[in-house]
Amino acid sequence: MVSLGAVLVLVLAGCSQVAAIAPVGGNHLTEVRFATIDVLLDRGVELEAVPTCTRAGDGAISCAGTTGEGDAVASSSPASDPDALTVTVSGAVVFTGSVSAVIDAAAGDAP
Amino acid sequence: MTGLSRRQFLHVTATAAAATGIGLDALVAASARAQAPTATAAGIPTTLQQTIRQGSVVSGRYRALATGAGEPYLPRTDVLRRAPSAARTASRRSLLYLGHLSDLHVIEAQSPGRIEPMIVQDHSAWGSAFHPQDPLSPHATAAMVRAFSDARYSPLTGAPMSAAIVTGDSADMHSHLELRWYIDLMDGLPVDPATGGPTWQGVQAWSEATWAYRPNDPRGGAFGDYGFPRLPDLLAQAIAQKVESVGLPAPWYAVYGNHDTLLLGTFDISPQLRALAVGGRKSYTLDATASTALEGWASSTSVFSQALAALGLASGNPGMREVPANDDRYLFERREFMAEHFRTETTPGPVGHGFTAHNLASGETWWQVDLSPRVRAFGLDTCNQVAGPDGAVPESQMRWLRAQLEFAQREQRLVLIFSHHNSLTLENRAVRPGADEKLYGAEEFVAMLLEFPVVVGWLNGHTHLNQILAHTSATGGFWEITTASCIDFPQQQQVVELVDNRDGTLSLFTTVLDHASPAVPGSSGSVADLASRSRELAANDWAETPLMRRGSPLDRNTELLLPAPFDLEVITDAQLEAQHVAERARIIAHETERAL
Repeated sequence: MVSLGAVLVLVLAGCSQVAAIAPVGGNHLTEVRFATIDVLLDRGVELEAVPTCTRAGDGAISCAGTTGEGDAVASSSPASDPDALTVTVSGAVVFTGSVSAVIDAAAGDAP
Repeated sequence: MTGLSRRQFLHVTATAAAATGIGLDALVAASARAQAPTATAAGIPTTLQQTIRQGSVVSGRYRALATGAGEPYLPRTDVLRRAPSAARTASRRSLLYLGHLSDLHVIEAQSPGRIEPMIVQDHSAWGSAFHPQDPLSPHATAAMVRAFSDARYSPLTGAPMSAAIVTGDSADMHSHLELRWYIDLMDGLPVDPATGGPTWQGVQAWSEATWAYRPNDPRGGAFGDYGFPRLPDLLAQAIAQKVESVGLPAPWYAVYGNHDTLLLGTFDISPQLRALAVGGRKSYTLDATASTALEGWASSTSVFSQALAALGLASGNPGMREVPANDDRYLFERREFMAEHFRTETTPGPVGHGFTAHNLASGETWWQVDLSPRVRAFGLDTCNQVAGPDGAVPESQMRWLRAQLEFAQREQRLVLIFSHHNSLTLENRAVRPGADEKLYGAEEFVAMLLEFPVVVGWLNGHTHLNQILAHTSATGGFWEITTASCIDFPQQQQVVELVDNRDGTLSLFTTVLDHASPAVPGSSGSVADLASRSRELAANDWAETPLMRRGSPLDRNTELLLPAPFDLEVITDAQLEAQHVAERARIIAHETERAL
């Protein structure tokens, strides 16, 4: 049984386990997926299989899907720089830039 | 295929009118109006018409919100894996129109049973312990219920809402008062937020709590530095009057969330915390939160005592203020969550909201219900009872569900699965020492669902964001639909409609709802203005990474196509018409009672 008391001791001692048990927060994989789709839709790419994303052992995120014409789409974001995003269609790079900038732009009407 | 004959229609209509107490003429007239669904849809406020977007800077980094253009349905063919027929739009018929609420996180922010100061230790990790909009949670929930009432007819087909599902995390801090408020707001009963008397009592009113957003004077802390506004009337307005709710327009069902199982959805509930919740002292510092929560362990465990001493956190430190105690704040037991759902209004009902007398007697926390003659739903409890926010599917539920899915497959019932956790958060296999029940993760659970083509959708929540994932097999698959929360931005929920395209395919239409409030809050203190302020504050709660929670356009208003798992002609137009007449009668009764 994990009690709040036990966790508080870990927390106050600066224990790294806190992140694992803390309630709902941001998520690298999910943010990369959203940003990848935003990039592709912004460029008018029609998707048959919307990219699905996986996390590698080192924490890097990679996503793969297909266009309506059957071409491969892919994206990646390294664990060392989780805000960095590269998106490709048929192997050609269509975007390199910031995950958060893509998400912020998609949410906003005003600069 | 034909619908009801004139004689059958009159019989069904008269029966529905008698059951709901409304006039036969009114019901006949409503049925006639329903023949023109496009005209109906134009007047239904959803994000198809307009939605909320980030606006311009108000002060510092604090931004307002603004109204943006509506978002049309985008088709997704991940499961169907071929281009859909264009003719489907002319031939489709509605099989089920469903409301989906999740992660309401109804909060009684004046409670001493909260642990808000934890954000001082790590704001991002503990962001859910304190939100600047916490006092406005009942108002945001009531405004969301209003949005469902406003969308009681489908914006796509005009079909009446058949049912609604709440996929967990309804009471934020395991408080009975929060549990009661959530049920009452769904039922259309008012709740009284003045739980501590006529003056707001809590960290957001106390000048000592500089770490909190204090609307009377936000200066001196991170929220003030960010640019959060000075709103000297906000806390008084939050408790000035009862929060009125129009109530859901359809029978609603509920499943457990991790916040309905563990404290803050994560921790065991100690006797100290139980006493704190109903007591008359509330913490406003990290030290005091630590010492009150640790009191029992510190006195009995030398390791904890040493840790406390080393950190200077011995029990009895200052950091507590007197507040009026309220016995209704007691922390409920796990079974009481089910039991409280029997203390409810019969309209919209049903009493128990999915839970039955069998659940209360057996302790089983999962259920099934037929939402229509050919659509069956299974409500699961994926919450870990030991520790951690994420979940898993216990062996007992896996066995039960497999057996029920075999029945459904044989009986040609379309199946919807309801749970709190989604496929990205079913990996928590924490068990008590000596417990031997196997806990299944997402990979095994999804694989089992894929064995049954009648499973067409899995509705869930937990991660406070809009997300739609396709799960595919060699021949088909199903759609997983995760809806956002009512506490974090964007404070959106959704309606889901199951549609027969009459060409061998089905579509699940998802339509996101903003709660019924303006983009820019006024100062009236009304439920709508306070809900609007809640959303604006949430959009600026940087620790919760608010903007990403909207999801992409392919996670919001969508048409999710998939192959029909059996010949849908077994569902006759007459069956659907009879179903819709009965549901329309119920909705007209709702409109009459609420003067809508």
